[in-house]
Amino acid sequence: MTGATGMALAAPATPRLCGTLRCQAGITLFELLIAVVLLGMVSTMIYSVLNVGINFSVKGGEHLNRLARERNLLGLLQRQVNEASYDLRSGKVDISGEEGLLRIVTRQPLLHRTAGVVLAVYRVNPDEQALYYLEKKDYFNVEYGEKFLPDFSEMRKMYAGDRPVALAYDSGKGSVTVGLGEEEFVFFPKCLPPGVTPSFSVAEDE
Amino acid sequence: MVLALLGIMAGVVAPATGRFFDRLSFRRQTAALVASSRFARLMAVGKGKPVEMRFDRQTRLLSFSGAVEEKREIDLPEEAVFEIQPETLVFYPDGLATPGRMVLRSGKRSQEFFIDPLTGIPVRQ
Repeated sequence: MTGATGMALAAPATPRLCGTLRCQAGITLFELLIAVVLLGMVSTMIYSVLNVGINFSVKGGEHLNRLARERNLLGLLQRQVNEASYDLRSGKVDISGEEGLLRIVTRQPLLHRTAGVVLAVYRVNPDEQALYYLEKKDYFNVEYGEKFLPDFSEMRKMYAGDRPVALAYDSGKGSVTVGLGEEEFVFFPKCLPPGVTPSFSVAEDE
Repeated sequence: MVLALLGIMAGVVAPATGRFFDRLSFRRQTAALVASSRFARLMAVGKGKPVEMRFDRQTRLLSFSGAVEEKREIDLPEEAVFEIQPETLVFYPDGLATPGRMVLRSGKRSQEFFIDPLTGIPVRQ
């Protein structure tokens, strides 16, 4: 280090660098409070801008969840209707129901996955616009006939979305219609009566 | 004068700060539980096998079995109570799950999550 440089480092602060007494005295509490208030205002403005993005993200997430819920409900209903069992004694598919109520004896359980065949009951609660679900392993119980109407208290709430849900069973066509808002989805059981074999006709090339 | 003002400000701010940190800690605990249930669902869907999730109150361990075999320690304070109803939640590969509830209580705070059977996602109640 040269002598000149050492002198420059050791030199006291000149009035040019900190020219006033006010500068040397630091800042007052009042100034600090003003700074805090200003910082708070700026932070609030930044947060409000970020909050808009956060709200959009939350709404997008909710929308995706709603779509997933609807898709899974329709998928479950379709599987259960497709895999409905065929009652040999009555000679018809084990599906019954009325407006807002559906009973299916199916090989596609939701709650008792290892049970094999179960009775799945769906019931719409019009007050809540919600769909309730009940599953019974003893589907053969005579109490669970076509007049079986479980109470909502013994069922589980399955779906409660923005769009009202509706259920209908057409015994003539054997179709189950699920309404979600203004959309309707129709499912058919795939089981066939005994003696009927599916025919797969292949068009022969001429 | 300045010290008195600082004292008053500290008196006003300190309790609010304490409550804020309490709330933050509780949120972190609930977030860990939600993340665990999402992990179970993701493993079930990803590996194509069901995952069962249980909570052992004695050891305070969340255990996963099925597609993934794992035990996780959940950082909960001594007074916190965590319950899963039913005791075993099952997440299936098709994204569905056993309908159930998860409840966390810590002091005066309480948070309940409903496991949506159609998506397997915990929904804040």
